[in-house]
Amino acid sequence: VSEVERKGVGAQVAAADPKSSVWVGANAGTGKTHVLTDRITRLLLSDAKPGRVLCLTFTKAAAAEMATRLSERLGAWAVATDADLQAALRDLLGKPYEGDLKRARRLFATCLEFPGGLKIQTIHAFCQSILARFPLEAGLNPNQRVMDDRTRAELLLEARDRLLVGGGNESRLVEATDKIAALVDEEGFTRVMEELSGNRAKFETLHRAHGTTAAIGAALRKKLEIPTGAREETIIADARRCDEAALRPAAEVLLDGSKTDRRIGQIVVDWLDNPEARIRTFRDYAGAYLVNDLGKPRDKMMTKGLAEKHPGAHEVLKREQDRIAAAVERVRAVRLAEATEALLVLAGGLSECYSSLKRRRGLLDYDDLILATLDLLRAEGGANWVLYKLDGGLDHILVDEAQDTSAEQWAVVEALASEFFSGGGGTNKNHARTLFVVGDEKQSIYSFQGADPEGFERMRKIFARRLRDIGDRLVEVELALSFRSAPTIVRAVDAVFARTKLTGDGRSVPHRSNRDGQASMLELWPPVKKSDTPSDSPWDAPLDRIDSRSPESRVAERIADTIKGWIDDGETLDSRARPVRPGDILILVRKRGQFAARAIRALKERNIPVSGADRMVLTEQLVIRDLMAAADFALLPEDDLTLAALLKSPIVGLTEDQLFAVAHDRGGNGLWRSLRSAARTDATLAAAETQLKAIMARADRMPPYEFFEELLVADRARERLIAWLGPDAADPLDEFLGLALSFERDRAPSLQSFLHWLRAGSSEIKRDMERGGGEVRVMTVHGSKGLQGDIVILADACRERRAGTKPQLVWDLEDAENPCVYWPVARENEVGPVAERRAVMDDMAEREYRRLLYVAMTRARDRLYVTGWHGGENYKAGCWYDLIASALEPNLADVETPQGPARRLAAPQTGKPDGAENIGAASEIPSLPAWALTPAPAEPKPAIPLIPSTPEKEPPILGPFDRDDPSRFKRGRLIHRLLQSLPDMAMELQEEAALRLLSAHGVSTTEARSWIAETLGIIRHPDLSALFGRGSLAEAPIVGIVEDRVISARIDRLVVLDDRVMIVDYKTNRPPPRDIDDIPSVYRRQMESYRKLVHGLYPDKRIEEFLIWTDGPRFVALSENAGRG
Amino acid sequence: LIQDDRHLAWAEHLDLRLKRQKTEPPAPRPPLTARPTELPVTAVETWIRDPYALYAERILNLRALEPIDADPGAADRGSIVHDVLEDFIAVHPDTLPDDAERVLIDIGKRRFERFETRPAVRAFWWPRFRRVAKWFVEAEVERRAEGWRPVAMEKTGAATIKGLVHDFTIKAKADRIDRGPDGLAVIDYKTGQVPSLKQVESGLGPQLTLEAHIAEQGGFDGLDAEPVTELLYVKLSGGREPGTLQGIADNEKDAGILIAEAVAGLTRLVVRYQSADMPYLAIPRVQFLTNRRSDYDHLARVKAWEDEA
Repeated sequence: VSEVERKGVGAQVAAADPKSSVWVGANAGTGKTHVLTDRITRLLLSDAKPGRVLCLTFTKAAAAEMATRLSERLGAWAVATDADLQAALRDLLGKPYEGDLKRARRLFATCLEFPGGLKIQTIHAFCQSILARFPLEAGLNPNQRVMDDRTRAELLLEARDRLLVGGGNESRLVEATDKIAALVDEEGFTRVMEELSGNRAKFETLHRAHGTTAAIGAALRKKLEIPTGAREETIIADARRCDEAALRPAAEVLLDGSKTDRRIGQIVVDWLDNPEARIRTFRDYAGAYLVNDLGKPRDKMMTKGLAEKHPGAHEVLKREQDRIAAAVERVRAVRLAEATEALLVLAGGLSECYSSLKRRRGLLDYDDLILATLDLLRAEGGANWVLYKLDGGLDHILVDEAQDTSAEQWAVVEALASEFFSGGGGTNKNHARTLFVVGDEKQSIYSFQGADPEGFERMRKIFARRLRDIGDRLVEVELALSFRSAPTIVRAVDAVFARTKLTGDGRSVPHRSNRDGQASMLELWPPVKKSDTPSDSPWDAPLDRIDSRSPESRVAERIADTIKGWIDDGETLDSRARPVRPGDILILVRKRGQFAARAIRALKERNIPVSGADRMVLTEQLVIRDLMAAADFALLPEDDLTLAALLKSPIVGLTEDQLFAVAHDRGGNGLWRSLRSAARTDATLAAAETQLKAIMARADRMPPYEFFEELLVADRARERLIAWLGPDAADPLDEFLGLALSFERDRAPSLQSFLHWLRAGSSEIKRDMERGGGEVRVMTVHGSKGLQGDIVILADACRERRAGTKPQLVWDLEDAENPCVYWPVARENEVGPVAERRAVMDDMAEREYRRLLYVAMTRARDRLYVTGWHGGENYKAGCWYDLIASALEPNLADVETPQGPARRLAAPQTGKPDGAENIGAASEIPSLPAWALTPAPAEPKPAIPLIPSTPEKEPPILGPFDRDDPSRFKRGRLIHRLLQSLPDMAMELQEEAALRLLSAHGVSTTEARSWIAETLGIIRHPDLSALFGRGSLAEAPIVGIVEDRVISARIDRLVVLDDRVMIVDYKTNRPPPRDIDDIPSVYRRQMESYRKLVHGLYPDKRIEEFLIWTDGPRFVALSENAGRG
Repeated sequence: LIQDDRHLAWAEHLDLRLKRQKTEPPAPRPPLTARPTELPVTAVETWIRDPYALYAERILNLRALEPIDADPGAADRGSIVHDVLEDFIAVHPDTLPDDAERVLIDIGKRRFERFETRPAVRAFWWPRFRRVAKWFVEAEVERRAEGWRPVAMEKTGAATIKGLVHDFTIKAKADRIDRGPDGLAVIDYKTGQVPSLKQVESGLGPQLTLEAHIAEQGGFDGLDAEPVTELLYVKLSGGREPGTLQGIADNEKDAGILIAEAVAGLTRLVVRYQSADMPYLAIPRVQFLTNRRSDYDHLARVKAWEDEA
């Protein structure tokens, strides 16, 4: 074990020490999850109660993974040999375990048996469980449900409409709406409202600080230094008064200058000449002093020569310029204030409407979970009560991915841990309460979901102080040894981030690799430029399409070609000492955009296994539009354009020319009608017509899923769609069918409503990409959190930070006394403090952009490839590509790859491969069996099996006066039992066993002897001896289809012989028929169907059927020659 | 549970049973007799940007149905504003009433009634319309003072290009034509995007210039041939700047050059498509692609072939 590794492992062991509260800063790949699992295990080992441990993870997937790891480990311990268990414990504790091994073995059962199990969950799930247990205390409807994003968006829209209808009577709201309507349209309004509702906690902070909307407005004006009552008009009116006596001569000087001078001079003179129009023309006048809409003052007010000649006049103009610039700035501040005030009024109204809708329907959104829990915990005694009811309290809290925790989530953790710091907890070492937080500010990439990257540092200080106050201490551990990335990757990461601030305090821990000697490489591929578009005249229509392959596409193709090359040539992954496999490869992008779809398609086209998109909007997929066109047509055949699209889709498959023949010059006819009449003379069209009619007929009677399934499978549309659209179409198809199924479960399954539902929401499919199977994974950096790949390809490294939409709202919450929000609407209105805050936000966004790169680079184990595309001549300074290229520049070597040039930083394999695996033989793909291509036979009509011994027609019942014998039924039943069991016994034991059975049922010995004799007479009858002989079966169940009916039966006795099969059925309760012709027809039919069933199984054998009347007992052979084989 | 990988492999086999087919971008070459010999000027822009869309709309006669429950969109707002202004000018072609703004707003009220049930429309469009009305009256007063008088509102007209294999007619419905001291002004109201001067010059925004050509030919009903001295877009957004006058040309010479270029360009376009092997390609030049979603991209199966090598 190397010194480095010893240290790294040592840090891990220290971090897992269950006696102390620990704060862990963990670089990427340093075994954070490992430490967390170790710590939980050690807590349990030192007798922590499972119910008193709470571990908060960032995602449900992480929680599930953690739980799995734990139960795997504890499960293994339960059955490990003493030596193995000792070794495992030594690794875990860093020293030999001195306790009782039995205790370690029992942990598995302890956790299993604990009600509810270990609390390893997301903070949202935890809060939800709290609220579900304390609805009254939290002031909630006990049946509340958490709504999904789509429901939330629908509810917000509904709230908006209610507000706008109801608000018609409230002048404040009307005024605010009018004001906002002038600034944005209804979509713009919805967008800003969404942003606001996404920042609800901030909005509430604002309200808590100021009380009312009006007070927020006043605070806003104070910040912007606008006098109360100032409006745009009053400011301009004030600005009207100028130093005319000085200004006029100065303006006249301009009139003698250059063209520009003269133009400006004229504006000034005009304005001075028309005092009554000064307000109206103020904007033009300001244009004389300011350059553009941003209101930047001109550098100089006169051309150089003129200014030198008339310095006095220039001075006057410059003073006027300052005055005007200040007035314009004030106007903008007022606009900003008014817009923000109007927005706050509407936002207040909207949030009331939204809350009341939620309350009425018993719905909660994700923010509610956190905020309501926080209120509950903060209430007087709330935390104590809740914790007391929760298994008597929490002793240990663990927080994973702490860098992505939001301020409100931290507040929940703080409230939960409040007991820890009240003294007593830390001093009693036998009942220690500990807090454990692990995170990495460098990996905080979820600020758009409210993550508070600087909170990690802030909370560390707070908790450290709290612990110090009670005489305890917070142990701080840095994990810097990467068990993931090989040296070249680690080196590159350090080089890139040595010069770049990632965190608030700019502190950075140098990385070390635990994988010295493993081959590793970083390669930069030249970014792809957008191809130049020729600037021909719009009027000159081209004869051919201009090759317009997008740069995304070309990047996707280079990547796919490279991977194909590796697979085909058996490129070796040195550290694993085996060829590269698709599952080793992770393709990362900052945004999915067009690229993800292109890359998946390019890989599928090359037969490289690739997992589908982690997100897609179904209704935008061509294959889904084809399916929807089929449904649309069925519902509304008059929709010509949709029918045409369906005709051209692979579902029907007409060519452009065939479409022309049907569609062109069809008079006033609809396309459907035209198609039908053309079908009379054209075989292809006739086939299309038949197919379309079938589709229409199905739409009438089938729910959505069956409709599409039938179209895809029975019509074979699936194969054609995939042949024409490529193998990547299979994925959306399956998702679509899944959606149809789940729609049918929850709603009235009509095709029409399904289509409407699809269109109304954008139906974005999201999937978790877990550790890959054998497939290349394409995903966003955000989605790759916690994952890794031997080979990582960073595909869109030239994308600029600004590529995303900028938040419209500027928050200023630093000033706790006077927090504010600004809605500038336009960039020009970002005056004074707003511009400062915006700069801070930009700075934070820039840091997050780089942190995202940190996360992306550290996903790689052995190799990192970096490429991208851009629209300009060169990639932009500061983009990821630039950050990497410029940091590594002097060390990069030019190389030529089969797909073009590259620059490379690499280290060869010098050590023993640390990830060598056995190479399993590639499994052979079985070829398609013949039956797969023939349609399955139609299902038999009645799907419920018939049971033949339930006769269709009852035979006559024994009359009450006919030979009345109360023991008749008893006798029949008992003989049935004897017939069933005796044949399986040795012959010499039969009699005695039978006697025992009968006397146990109270049959006199004499009577018993006579019954037994008769029964054995049958069993030993020469005709039947085979039936009751070796290998015969009692009560043989049989199921099959006879004449389109499913028959399920139990044959009382059956034997399969070489040449024949014998079957028998016992009849108990009827007087036995005197001869064969007296046998009721029902019994004959029953035996007939048995015969057919058995015949189906043994078509080559003769079947012999018997009936045995236990009432006799006597037997009848039904088939000719029966018993004479 | 049965663990059997064969089933997955079989399912995949089934999917891939048919040979992979390549979708070619559509390039229909209908016979010359099927090709249009007259078009509205608004279709000319489609012709330039996406000839296949023109083919589908005008040759195959396929048009998208408006969804029944669609939210009123930008087009509805545009048509309301057009209607209100048309009503207003029809009543006051010469002098404006003193309470012009109130009159305009009253007309607007009637036209907006049908959106009574759509709160978002009322809440946002109505205040915007009021701002438009206010601005419009001010601008109109000024315009009339400069000597302009509206002589045509929403009037249809046509002009024919002769001397080709087949004559070709362009038709138009001009939002508004004014007569001024020296000639005519062709005006278009826009509630959305306004084409830039550059777009008009290059031919990407040929509506005003071709309408002006029709006017100069005397093609509008009841309007004699007269030189056009002004090409003007009026942008009516109702936003912070409720309206803007966006002049494209303000004298006979500039207007004349633009009109002549447009007619020459259109003639070239017509001649090209009068050749039987000229195909109607789908978005052949991506640089002319607009953000607007075309009704015909599904029919053209754009996603199946775009971006393919």
